[in-house]
Amino acid sequence: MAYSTSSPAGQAVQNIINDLPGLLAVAIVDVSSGMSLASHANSSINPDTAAAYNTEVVKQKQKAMGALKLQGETMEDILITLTNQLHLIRLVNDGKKFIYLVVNSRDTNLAIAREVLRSQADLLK
Amino acid sequence: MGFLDSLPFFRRGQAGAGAEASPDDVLPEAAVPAGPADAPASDAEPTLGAAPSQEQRAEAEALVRAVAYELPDFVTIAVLEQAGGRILAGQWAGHSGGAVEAAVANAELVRQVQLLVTALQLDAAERLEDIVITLQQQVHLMHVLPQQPWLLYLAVRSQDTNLALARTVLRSFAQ
Repeated sequence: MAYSTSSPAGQAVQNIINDLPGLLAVAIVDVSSGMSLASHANSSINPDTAAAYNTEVVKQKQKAMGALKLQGETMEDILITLTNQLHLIRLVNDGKKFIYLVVNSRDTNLAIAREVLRSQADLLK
Repeated sequence: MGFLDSLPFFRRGQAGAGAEASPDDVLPEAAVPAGPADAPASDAEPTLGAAPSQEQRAEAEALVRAVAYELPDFVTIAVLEQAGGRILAGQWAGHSGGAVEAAVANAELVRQVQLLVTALQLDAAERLEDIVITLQQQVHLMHVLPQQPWLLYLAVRSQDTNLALARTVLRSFAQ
């Protein structure tokens, strides 16, 4: 268990696990360093490895948005659909952190997963 | 799509592979990857391959037109090469400023996700299908086309087009 519930990030991870007990992996990640503040996995997925790659994904999209000069736009989330898994990146705290969640698409649909992450966003401000 | 011809990029493409100015020009400053994900030295910079043939461009343009017919309220529809992000065909509802740089960044984003999928050592059956990016007012979708090394890129305003519909349409064209 790579988290302590005494920190807000750890508490958020615990809350997400409570809402989605079947999740495959979850992490709260600091975008500036790409390191996770708290993480948990119920599978072979290493959430800390994923955090490093996902940080690059977020930065690339910020670069693409910068090129398009989208005014007043901010990124809310990124959804990656694989054959049997959903990987969801929910940006919080003005893009300084994100919540990363991996679920099996047979167990959890996108709407539920997004709702669970949205409910934790305030905790990480 | 006469306005496409006004983009220098497309004129170069039609001038043929031998033209001196190639789309590689846009790569050096726009596609510099950074961070731990690019640590393996063997993982070379994405490079653009040979110029696409007229048939490939025609196919890509037909795909763009077909998607535009189904989702008329689009902001952008484009077909990109996965390696390097060259735009093969595209339609822009508004201005197309920054489209080339954005395409390169989006193709790089997809490459990072492919690296992620590899790094996580998931089941061999797991394939990347699509990536959806929700902004405050827009949704950007990137669908990996199985039959070609291309990405189908779609940007819509969330108030005009719902996400489920947009994904369903893209999925239907990706089969």
